[in-house]
Amino acid sequence: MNEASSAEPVSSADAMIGIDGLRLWYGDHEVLHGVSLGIRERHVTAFIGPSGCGKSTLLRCVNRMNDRIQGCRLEGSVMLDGTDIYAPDVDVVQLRTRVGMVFQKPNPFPKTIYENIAYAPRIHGIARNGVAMDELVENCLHRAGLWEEVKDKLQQPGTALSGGQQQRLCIARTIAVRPEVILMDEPCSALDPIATAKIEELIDELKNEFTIVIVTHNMQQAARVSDYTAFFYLGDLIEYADTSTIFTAPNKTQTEDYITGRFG
Amino acid sequence: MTDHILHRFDKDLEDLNTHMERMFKLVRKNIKQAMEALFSGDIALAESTIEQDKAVNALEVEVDEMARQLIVIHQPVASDLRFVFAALKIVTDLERMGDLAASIAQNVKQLGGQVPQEDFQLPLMKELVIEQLKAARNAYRERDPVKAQAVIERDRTIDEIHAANQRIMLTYMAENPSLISHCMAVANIAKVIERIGDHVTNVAEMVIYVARGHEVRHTDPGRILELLEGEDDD
Repeated sequence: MNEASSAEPVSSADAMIGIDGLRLWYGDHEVLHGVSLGIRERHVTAFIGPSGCGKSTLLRCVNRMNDRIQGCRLEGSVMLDGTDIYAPDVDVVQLRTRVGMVFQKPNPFPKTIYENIAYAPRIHGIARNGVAMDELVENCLHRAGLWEEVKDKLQQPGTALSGGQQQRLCIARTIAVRPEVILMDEPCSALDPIATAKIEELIDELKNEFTIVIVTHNMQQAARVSDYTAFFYLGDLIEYADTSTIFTAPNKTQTEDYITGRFG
Repeated sequence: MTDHILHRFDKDLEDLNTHMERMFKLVRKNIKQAMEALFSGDIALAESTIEQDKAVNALEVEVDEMARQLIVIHQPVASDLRFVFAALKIVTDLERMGDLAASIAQNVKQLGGQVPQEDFQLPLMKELVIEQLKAARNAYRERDPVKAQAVIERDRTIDEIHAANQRIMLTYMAENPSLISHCMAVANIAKVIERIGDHVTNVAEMVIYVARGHEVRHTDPGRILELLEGEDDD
């Protein structure tokens, strides 16, 4: 129906994640109609579009979160570093250590701040002894910009932190297993502007190490944090370009109408 | 184009546009009036032109404020952003054109009602520049990049006439030294008209930016045309 912008911003050679002809159904309802795009390593890619456009569904395809939904099936491929993540021999648990996820509502484990970080690395055998684990916890909290705020209360429950701190704790928890990709599904929608700014600042730092894909309803946020922006509508990728192009001179009328608030 | 969901946004953009239109009209009127004063030696008309420039200046300040408010309140993007950005650039050019009209009027006063004895190419340059301003305003109104490109292209003609005029005047001054001071005044006015033409070109460049998002400043007009012809109109 709609063709994405002909000038693809990320060539297949540059794409760390390659999504090709992806169609997805929930039962009989087709939610994605053959989406293809490449996501560039160590850059931030934003998915935008009105509710129901398929952007969160697509995001969840990248670490197979949709597997858990009954009646969900898909066609097409999602390649991570050249490997088909839907191949039968792929270990989904392993995949999710490579592709971490941060959700809309901060969801720390009902454990201490320390344990929130240490839990997954312990399971995956990333830090074996206490000293190594202490270092890992401190390092992750530093990188998530939370260390100074929590260093004296590591044994307090993670759920006692403010919403913004909890979200940074979740990011620290995600990076503790050394993923390559971090998926963020509206990570700031439950946060106030200051907590949002801290997360955005963090995204800017994390992209030096990780490939980040973020779904956001906040257009200004997409403009601020991302290098590339993909606009979806009714299950189609309408336009995909570098973010400055999308927000100054988009190629497609639908993109223009959506981002300028003319939709509907 | 479809309306914004938020009607206030449309209203604020329309108000900004109305102010721009008003400024275009006033600047054109002032330029025409300054020229009339020049060729008729009408000092009163020159004085009223100088006085009217205050209204142009006031409009510039108003447009700036409206654009600031629009940015703060609506955080425009895409075509809305381009329009607001271009409005801020265009008003600066319009304001300068207003200043140049006042400058011509000031020259008229200095000449003390004396009309140019040898007008060289001044009437032709005047006609062309007023036509150019009208064409730029139409291109702006219609957000028509092709019409804007034509304005940019035609500025060459004004530049060429101006250059030729200067050569003729040099010869004339060499042959008639008694007319040097008069010729200098005419040369000054010709230069002002040529500068107005440059500002009109800047406006046209901004129209292309609004319409298509292309940055065409300091770009050859032929290249601009290729750029416009080489894209579909989605």
